[in-house]
Amino acid sequence: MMWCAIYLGCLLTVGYGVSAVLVARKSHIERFGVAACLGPGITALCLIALSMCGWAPSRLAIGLVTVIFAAGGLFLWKKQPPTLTQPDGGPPAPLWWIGLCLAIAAYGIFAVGLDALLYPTIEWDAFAIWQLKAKVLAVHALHPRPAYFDNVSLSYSHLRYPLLVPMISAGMHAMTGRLDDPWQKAPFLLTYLGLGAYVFAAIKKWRGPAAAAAAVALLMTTPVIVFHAGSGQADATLAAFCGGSLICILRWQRDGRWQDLILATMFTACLAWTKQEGLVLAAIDVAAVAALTPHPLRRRNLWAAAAFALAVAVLYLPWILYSRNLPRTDENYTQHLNLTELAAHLPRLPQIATGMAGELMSWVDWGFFWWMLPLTALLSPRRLLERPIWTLWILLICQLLAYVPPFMVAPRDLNSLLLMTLDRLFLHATPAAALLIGLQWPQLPHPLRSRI
Amino acid sequence: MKQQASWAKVAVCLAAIAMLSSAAVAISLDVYNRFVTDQFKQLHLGCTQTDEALHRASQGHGLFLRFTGNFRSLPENLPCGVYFRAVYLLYPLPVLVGEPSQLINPHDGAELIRQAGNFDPDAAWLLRHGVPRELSYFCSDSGEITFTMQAVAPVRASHRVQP
Repeated sequence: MMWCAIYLGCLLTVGYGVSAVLVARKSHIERFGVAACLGPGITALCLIALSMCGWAPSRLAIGLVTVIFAAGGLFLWKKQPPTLTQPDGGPPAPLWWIGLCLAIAAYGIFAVGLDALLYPTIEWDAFAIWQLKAKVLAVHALHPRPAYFDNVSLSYSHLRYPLLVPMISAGMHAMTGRLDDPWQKAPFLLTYLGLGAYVFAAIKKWRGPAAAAAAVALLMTTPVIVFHAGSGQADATLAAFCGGSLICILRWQRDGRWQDLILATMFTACLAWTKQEGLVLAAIDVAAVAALTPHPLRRRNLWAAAAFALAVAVLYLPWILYSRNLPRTDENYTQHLNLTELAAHLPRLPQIATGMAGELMSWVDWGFFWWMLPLTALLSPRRLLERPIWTLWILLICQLLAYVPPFMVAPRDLNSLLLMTLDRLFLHATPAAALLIGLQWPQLPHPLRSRI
Repeated sequence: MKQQASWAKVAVCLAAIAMLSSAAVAISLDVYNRFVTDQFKQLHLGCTQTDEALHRASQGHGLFLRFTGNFRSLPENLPCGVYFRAVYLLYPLPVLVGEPSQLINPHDGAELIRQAGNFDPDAAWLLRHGVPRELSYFCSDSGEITFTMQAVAPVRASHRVQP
């Protein structure tokens, strides 16, 4: 228990080291959001780098990473100009509304906390893939390559999946000194809280606390998120990185601050290292920085897009090099993704479209989460003309449609595949949807605001 | 202006009602699944029982799993679940269901059963591959599952347990 708390403290300290330097706004909740999302991601990336050099995760390694980021953050923070204090983008919200939304979000935190801290890892993919890898990484350094990566009898655990999420849990194993501890999922409670805090802070600056509280309460109690966030799988963590990168990209487009682009780079690199789906989302991020900015052909933006893409590629390169010789044993989607195969599988499109539409409308999986998107758009139609909103709509549609080609060429029974994967794939797009719901949230005209 | 203000009021109320309804549905479903039905409890209980059986069978050694009988009649992919769970639970101890060079992909339970059912290694093979203990699951035609634990070395002991 004590070592679990110390590890969570280390993850937060690393995150605060980054957010103290790169988050310019004077907002505790935003700093916490960035720290809670990026802390586990950056710590895991550092531990992977050390592991590739031959040092398996240990208390010393985690302590070293923490001290370096804490000292670096403190040093650079002192040198920084005073932080910005931006007013909220909307009217103050009535206290009862904030209280109600907080109470709703608190149930989500309670449920995810139960799964993450009290219950054993029982979700099939969580123990068969992610937490098995966490044990491997806790026991062996990545150099020399552990026998696990060549053991085809374990190919069901997807030997070539990237290692960020398992390394977050491996750090907990290293810290507690046990492989059978129940705390391996505790860091994912942090990323869940971080996602909620960061989305809240972002919407609050754009539309005020009422819209922010509503969108975050909705996001944090969505059944699919509540189910997956504390289960020990990678999807909710991927969603947290995805949400973080989107917020930073929108801010980069609005303010042009390099710090936001650096944060976006970190979030996007973590995305790529989390799951293979993260690579697709990272590519969408790069395209957004390149094409969806106010002046895409200006030299500054071209440089920014090139630097962003290059930095993400360089940060992901070690895994490309490491995994190039690993056995290819599972569905090799990249091999099937060519025009001939896509054309041959066009008849699958209606089935995919029906499956996707059915999933978006499933109230058991989502409540009315996805219904809120068209509803809020209809209630505030003029908002659709605002840059952040149509940018988010484009990104959201890209994120949802990105999975259509892999479904078309999937070498498996499509029905069962759709049934098993769609909820988790749409989970990756929930931060974009929650941001949209918050930004489209209707507001009262000025004279009425003070009366409510 | 007045019309605009009343429309804004309606819009805010509609959005708030939709949001609260969604949250209410989501929370009610979670409370129902978690605390009212015994779905969660059964899941945890099943998991705990499997873990106990695996620990008792392994006792700190590598484990060989065998699935025989009529598993194909079961709707659940039990052999896969037990194998994946055993590998996770007992890591870094080896867990095998067949030749170590045999590729095992996810969602391929039928194949797993075929391999495990047809593969009958002798004691020397089990010792050579670091799996001196064996856990055999048998599924009868009526769907009843029993399992047997055996130690190949140092002492061969066997007992039959009703789950």
